Amino acid sequence: MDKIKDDRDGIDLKSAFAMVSHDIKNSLGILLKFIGTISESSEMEGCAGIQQCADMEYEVRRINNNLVKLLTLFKVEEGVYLLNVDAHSVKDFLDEALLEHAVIMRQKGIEYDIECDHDLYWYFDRNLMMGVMGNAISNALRYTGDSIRLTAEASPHGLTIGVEDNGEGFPSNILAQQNGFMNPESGFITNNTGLGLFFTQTVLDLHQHDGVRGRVELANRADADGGVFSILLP
Amino acid sequence: MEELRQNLNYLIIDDFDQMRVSFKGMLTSYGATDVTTCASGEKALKLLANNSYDVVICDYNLGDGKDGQQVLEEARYLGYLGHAATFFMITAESNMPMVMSALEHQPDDYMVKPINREVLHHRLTVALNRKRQLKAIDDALIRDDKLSAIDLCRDRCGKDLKQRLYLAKLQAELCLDIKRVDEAEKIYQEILAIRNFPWARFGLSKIDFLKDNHDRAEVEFRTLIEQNHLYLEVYDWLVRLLEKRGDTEEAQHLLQEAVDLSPKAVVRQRKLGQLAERNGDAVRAERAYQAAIRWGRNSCFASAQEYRYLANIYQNTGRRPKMVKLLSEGRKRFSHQPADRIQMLCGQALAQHHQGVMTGLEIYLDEIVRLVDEHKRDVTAHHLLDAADDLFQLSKSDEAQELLKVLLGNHHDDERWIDRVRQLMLQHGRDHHIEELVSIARTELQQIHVKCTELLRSDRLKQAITLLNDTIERYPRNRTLMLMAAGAMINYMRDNGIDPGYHFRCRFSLNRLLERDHQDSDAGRFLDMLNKITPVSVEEGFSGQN
Repeated sequence: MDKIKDDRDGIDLKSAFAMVSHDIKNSLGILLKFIGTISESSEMEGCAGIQQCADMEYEVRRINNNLVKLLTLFKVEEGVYLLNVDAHSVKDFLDEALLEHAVIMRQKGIEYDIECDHDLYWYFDRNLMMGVMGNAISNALRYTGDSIRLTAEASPHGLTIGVEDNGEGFPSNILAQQNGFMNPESGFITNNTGLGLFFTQTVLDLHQHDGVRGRVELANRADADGGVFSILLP
Repeated sequence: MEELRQNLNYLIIDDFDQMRVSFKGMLTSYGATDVTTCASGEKALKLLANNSYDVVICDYNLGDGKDGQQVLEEARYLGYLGHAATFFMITAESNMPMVMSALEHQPDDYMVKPINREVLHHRLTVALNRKRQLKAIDDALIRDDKLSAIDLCRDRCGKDLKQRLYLAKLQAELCLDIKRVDEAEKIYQEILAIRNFPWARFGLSKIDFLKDNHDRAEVEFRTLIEQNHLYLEVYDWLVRLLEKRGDTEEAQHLLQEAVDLSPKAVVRQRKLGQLAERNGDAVRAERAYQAAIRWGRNSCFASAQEYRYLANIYQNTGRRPKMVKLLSEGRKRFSHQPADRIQMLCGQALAQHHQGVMTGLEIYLDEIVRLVDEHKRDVTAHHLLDAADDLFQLSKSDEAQELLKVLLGNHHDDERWIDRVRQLMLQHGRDHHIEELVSIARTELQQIHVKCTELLRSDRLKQAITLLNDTIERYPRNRTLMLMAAGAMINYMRDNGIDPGYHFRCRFSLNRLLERDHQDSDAGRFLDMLNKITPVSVEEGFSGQN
């Protein structure tokens, strides 16, 4: 009798989790629309509050992205994520990844640049990778000075995508610990960068080819100030 | 921006007011002027039936009625949505079971909420560009010309990687559809040499199954399911395999799993009911038919079968009132589908007969005979045999034999059907009338057959074609005559140039034959020949007319 009850409780909690998350996601979607409308009209009328709108949108997007990350991780854990690998234009993909943040960049006056061959195509799950890029770009936008740069290049090892900013770069403790973030005891997972990296690595693990998994790496730029978030897709 | 300003018609389907307003606002901001919105899948299908849209933007989750995937599948199935229309599915989450379905059940693109104006514009531009590049193939698919589509898919040179992969996948799926197994196999192997795509592995295992390598196919089907729980199409193929092997218990068990994962699939529910019945599991059969009927209420994939089967279960368990109620619901439900309606009418007549109510029976019988006569093209041999069986039970032997005559006329040279007719007659004590019935139908058709062969041999093509086409009017499912007519018309057009009327008839009947049996290699061969003699301009004229 107890066992049956336990089973039922387990199922209810899981579906409650999924249902509530979807509901929150819907609300956030509508909230984002409202913010978009307000910020457009304040942009046109040149009134103050543009900055607050940008901040608001940034935060709402962050909540949304975190929710997406949680839901995806949950599905991968449950074994019900259907990986949808297809060939995609990398330039197209990076364009779109930036367009997601178009309004914020415009309002914060952040310049951007994409360095990628038009003919470059690669195999990946577009939606999952969009989540990874959303996370990386969102971080870069938070810590950068006034510009970000996306790069992509193919090599015999795979496709390397880089997100560069011109802020102060990653603190040395994060750089030192970056390989330990999968280990729960490192305490790394407890902060937001940890969740982002954990999500990124989970996504990259799903992208296996010829027994090689994807990799993520954090570094600071050698040529100038700023950090580089880079991933390798086999 | 230029791209989207051209007079495109948009349809937005979303159950949230806010979202409809927001999408419409975004589209208008790119210069779109023709934007229709609606809140439910049912309304969307009505709109799609009566209007043509260039772009459909549909939310997956539409509340209580049909979901976005059902809208897409039904619109494609009913021909409301040409391959030329671009269909966007909007989802709340980044991962849906539909990404694993066959290309024909996939939207042109997915977008995950939230979507801002910039991203929507970008996606629309890319998708419309892609659609334009594929126009020739889409046109071929709209006119149901799979062979030309396959030829066009082969020409992958110079295209980008995304397109090449798409064309390879489409070509392989089309080849499998018309049973060009070796060509499909080669493509899947080439693709797997590049990347380990589950759909390519699935393709190869289907081929293993078709080539009777059942053990290997089973292992791979099971691996695919294990790695992708939601890959529902694989369940269907594994079920087919288990059935073929006679392991119906395991087949039922597996199909039950698939149905639990996605209960709205009417066809799968019906199949589950049949399997359960075969396994003597009346309880589960009843449940599955009930589910098929419930989900079929607003689906174009409902059929009279589940009503009849469930009615039988009610009858056998003495639940007559339920049975009568069910059949009358079915009769209303299928008032526009002749073959299904015939089944319902027979069922109702039988139900009354069993209850001893004889009044009103004639009305049912008249309608059955009238429907068969008016819709010969749609009423299959199975339908006719079942209906004749019912009529015999109602002691209406003359009417039953009329139906069997139509059946024999359509299959005058097919011993299997002639045997089945014989068995049915025996079963109902009509032994004396068997040979008379069979010979009437056979003699008439054989005489025509011989006459046409003579006409063809003496090169009187036009006369042969006229005689054949007239006979086909009366027996519109007679494969032998349809093939003879197609061959004659192709020969005629090869020497005398294209005749639009012949051309249309020819493609129409060959496509119907291939729909009935994908493996009909004669029909496939004739269609090939027809394509070879068809100049491009004729095809364009036709696709415009259709």
